[in-house]
Amino acid sequence: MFFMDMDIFRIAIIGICGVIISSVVKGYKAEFAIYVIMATVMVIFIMILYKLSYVFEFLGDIYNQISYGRNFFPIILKVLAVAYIADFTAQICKDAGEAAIAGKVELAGKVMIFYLAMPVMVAVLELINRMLPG
Amino acid sequence: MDFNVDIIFKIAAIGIIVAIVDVMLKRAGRDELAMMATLAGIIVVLIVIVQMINNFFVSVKTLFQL
Repeated sequence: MFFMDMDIFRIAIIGICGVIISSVVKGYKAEFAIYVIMATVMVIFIMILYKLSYVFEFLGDIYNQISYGRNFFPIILKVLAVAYIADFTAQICKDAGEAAIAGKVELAGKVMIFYLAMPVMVAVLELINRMLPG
Repeated sequence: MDFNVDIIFKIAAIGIIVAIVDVMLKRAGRDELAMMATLAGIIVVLIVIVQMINNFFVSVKTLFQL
């Protein structure tokens, strides 16, 4: 894990190379351009995942010290995961020109986030109910 | 970490090679063979990409502890 702080340079160069290679391949066989784009996106995402694991450990330590936070931190993680994956898939669909599939994937992500967040809303409503007199 | 970057170049190389083979076969008049070679190349890259996607989603799952 050497040279971890300035990995943004690596990620930027990988992104630019991906764009150039994709445009080159698109001239020969348009189907392969999507594969190149998918590979580039996944490579960059995996690089970011390494950093994210540290952030989540840190956040987990903080949230474990709050009595309310202990139940809800996994929900936050799940919502984040759904948001990232839905965005990643929808962008790839749009790049391939399939805007309809991208729209449905995004809609599915929104619905799942709402479904995951329902217990949090219920808890907030109960809290408000308890705080109001009578 | 640099193993991942090589994959992009390999996929692009396979794509260009398939394109060249396709053009050469079409010039030689063997259109069906050209189509089959193109399809084979696409399927090979598809398998590689699906494996990458599998690894990627597994690591996302372990990271987020889903």
